[in-house]
Amino acid sequence: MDTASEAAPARGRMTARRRRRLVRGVQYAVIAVVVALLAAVADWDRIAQSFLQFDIAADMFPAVWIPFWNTIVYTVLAFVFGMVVGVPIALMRVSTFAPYRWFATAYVEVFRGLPALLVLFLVGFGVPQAFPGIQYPGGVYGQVAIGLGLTSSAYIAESVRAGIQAVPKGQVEASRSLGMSHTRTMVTVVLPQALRIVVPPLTNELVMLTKDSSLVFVLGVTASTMELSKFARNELTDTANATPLLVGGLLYLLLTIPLGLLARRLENREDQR
Amino acid sequence: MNIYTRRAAAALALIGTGLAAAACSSGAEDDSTLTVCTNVPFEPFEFSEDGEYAGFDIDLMNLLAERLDQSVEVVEISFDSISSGEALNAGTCDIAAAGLSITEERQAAMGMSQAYYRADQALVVPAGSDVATLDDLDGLQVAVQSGSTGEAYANDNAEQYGYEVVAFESMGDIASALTAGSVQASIADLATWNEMIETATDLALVQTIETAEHYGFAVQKDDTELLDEVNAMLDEIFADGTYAELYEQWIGEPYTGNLDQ
Repeated sequence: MDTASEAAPARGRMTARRRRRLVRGVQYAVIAVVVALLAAVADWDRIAQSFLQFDIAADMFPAVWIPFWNTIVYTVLAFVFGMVVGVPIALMRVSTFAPYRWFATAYVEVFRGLPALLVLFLVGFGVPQAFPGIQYPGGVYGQVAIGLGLTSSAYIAESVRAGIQAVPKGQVEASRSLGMSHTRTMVTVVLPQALRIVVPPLTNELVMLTKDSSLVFVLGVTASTMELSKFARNELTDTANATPLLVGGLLYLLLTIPLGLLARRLENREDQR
Repeated sequence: MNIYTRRAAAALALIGTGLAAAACSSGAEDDSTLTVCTNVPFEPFEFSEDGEYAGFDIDLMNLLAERLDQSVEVVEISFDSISSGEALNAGTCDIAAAGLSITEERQAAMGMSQAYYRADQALVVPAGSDVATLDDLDGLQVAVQSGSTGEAYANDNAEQYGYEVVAFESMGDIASALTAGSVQASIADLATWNEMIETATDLALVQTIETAEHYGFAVQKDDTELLDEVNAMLDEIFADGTYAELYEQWIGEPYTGNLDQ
């Protein structure tokens, strides 16, 4: 604070800055006290024993790369399904043909409202019992793509619809006046811009899906189709130690943090335009 | 604009290949594998060790697969999906080997084999707990495995003893919850607890609850062909001594020649 007051010439503006500095200083002090308290209260030996057993962490490798890879595969499959279904639903949402709008609205409300876990159960157990002999392409991979993709497609549809509506009306009017059909306008003018606008929210959706892939275990998983959370939980049981949860969590962050950074960069690029 | 349309086209192409790849990868239905639904850990019947599945049930399934000229593929799934029959009837696997007690409801939902093990329930508490019998459970929280006969027993008697039933997905989760102190007791299968408390020394088995259940294997409801094979396999190994050998290996005591003794 002293340096601040010394450096501050006697000008009216500086009082506001000094006050701001004081408030900030108090906030830093509070954080420092909280951290110090936590450090004093925590039983570090016990925490290290539960979470930082390096031999247990080392034992998880290289076996953990199979579930890690599966987590990526499940996420990508569900996202692809979500895009393939979600974009047409978004177009139906803004259609001039009323029944399309009714269907798309109902679709979004249903799959946005149902928990992803319930949809997975429906896809994995409900549908096969109702339609005996039904085969999902790719076995559990197909089930995941559809089960997680249905929920995801509802969110994607809403994002893309917002993107479509964010494209200035003048663009449509200009294209139409040039003699382009409504469909042509949509496909070549509006949709490319809309998809570009919704890249940041779609990246968020991808991060959500990465985490939702942890629900796949309810469908039944083999050693080769296991995802990261189930693997970490099995290791937790086998070792009676929480270190595998920490390792699993870090591996999720290894996937989601780059995605978050990417989303932020894309958002910034959008702002600069 | 052109670059965006090109990008959109590239994205669509990517999506297409992704779907094609998904459609091409092999499905679960395959004549050379016997897919076995189970829930681990459930020692000594099924558990994973160094990435391999082992146990009494797993050995019996290997015998069945040998008989059918197939190889076993284990599918891990929550126990309530097995015991409700939905995993089998949805075609997730060919057979369930999960220390599954034969009950009327399960016989109605699935094809249940003949009995291959006599099971009872047990009350387990953290070591040093004041709880010695069911009578001491008043006001406490009791962990059970979702969909198990232990859960059914616990629910049926909750009012009498005044405890609250908390359902967990696997026996491993129950052991973690007991150790962490979020529940104060658990009711689950005796044989499994016997085995688990050997490694989890912070838990103690305080009371055996004789419910006289029998484990059986379960197949899809109309799969009489596989059911006949399972029963024939069991008949055979009961007769030729293979069962007694496996029993002694996994249960740790000699087989008396009668499941109920």
